Amino acid sequence: MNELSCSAVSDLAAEAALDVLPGDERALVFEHLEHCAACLRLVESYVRAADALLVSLPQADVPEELSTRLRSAVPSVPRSRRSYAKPLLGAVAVILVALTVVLVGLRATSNTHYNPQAEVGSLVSPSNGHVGSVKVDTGADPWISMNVDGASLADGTYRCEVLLTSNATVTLGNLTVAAGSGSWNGPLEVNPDHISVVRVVAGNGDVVAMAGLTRADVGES
Amino acid sequence: MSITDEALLGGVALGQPDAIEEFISRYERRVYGAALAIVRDRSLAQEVAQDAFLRVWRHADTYDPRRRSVNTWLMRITHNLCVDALRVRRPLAVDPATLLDLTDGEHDPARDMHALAPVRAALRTLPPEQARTVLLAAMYGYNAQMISELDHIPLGTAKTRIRLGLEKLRLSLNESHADEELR
Ligand SMILES: [Zn+2]
Repeated sequence: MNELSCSAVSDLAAEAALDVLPGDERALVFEHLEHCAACLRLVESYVRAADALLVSLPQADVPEELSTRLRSAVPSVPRSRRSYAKPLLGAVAVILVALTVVLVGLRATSNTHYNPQAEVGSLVSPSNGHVGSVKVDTGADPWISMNVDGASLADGTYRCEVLLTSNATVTLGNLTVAAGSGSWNGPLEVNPDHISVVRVVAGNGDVVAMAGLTRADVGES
Repeated sequence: MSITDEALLGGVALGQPDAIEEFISRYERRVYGAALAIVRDRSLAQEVAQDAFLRVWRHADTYDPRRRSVNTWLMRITHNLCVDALRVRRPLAVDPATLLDLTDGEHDPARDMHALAPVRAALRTLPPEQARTVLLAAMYGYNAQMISELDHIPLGTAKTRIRLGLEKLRLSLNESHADEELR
């Protein structure tokens, strides 16, 4: 019985567009926007005004040091499981994306595709909506990548964690969602066989998405 | 003929080294400049800029041209990272005068004049307290509660200023758009 009226939403539309509403109000506004095109248009017009402000920020000369660092982080080096150094993360990420694209492509065309070194899962919301995906490269140095897409989560920072079969929880890292999408990847410090579910947790402690893992070669036939 | 931003980002998504180099060259001044304007600390701005490009490398394939231009998408990413970085460092001393100069830094006049003049003009038409409040929220991610504490004003006043300020900004930007289309 907490539904907001259009006039209440229009009062909060500017704060919603700037993403500065407290969590409870934000949830109510977004709930309203799901079924009210007029209010959605209003919020979007505020978002465009805020975008115009950001785009109006000045340019500045880039220090030599940064210029070099940006170019040395260019993802042209093959991913090395031993090198978790920061400059290589960009390379790792792009290769992971490429790998994911290839895997998804293969999985889409062939149910019998066999990849003995990966486990995958779909991140779904409590209401079973699509949120994103998880992939674990098993093997000597397990690596986990989590991807949120489709604008299902509000912009913000979320905690990635795994619930183990022992019921213990292990925090993996933070995933920031910007403009509806975000991802996080890093070494998996726990045995993949002991994972019960992978979860995405909001700042207020709510579990906003979870995924079970299955081997990439099963579960589709 | 130079390649469009969207096509360039497509090349970035595929990991093409030429596209990545061109993308950096095209955007590094904008990303670093925006970060510097918001966080006002050279080394923090460098970190933010590096993280912003890292995020582009990771998410180039999720960019949706129907939602935003590449430039706006990239400024959003940069802005989110700035807000995250500042959240760790609060309280931040915010000087209103500095804030209002925020969008007045060094621009490339040939490129920017046309596009940015309406934003600056629109900001100037706002009562100073509304402009300040909108900038605190839009640039620094301050919510009404934080603004109320920072400026010693009631919460309701902070919320009203955000709403009225952004509403005026939106209307005057719409008008300047309409003017352009009439010309
Ligand atoms: Zn409505």
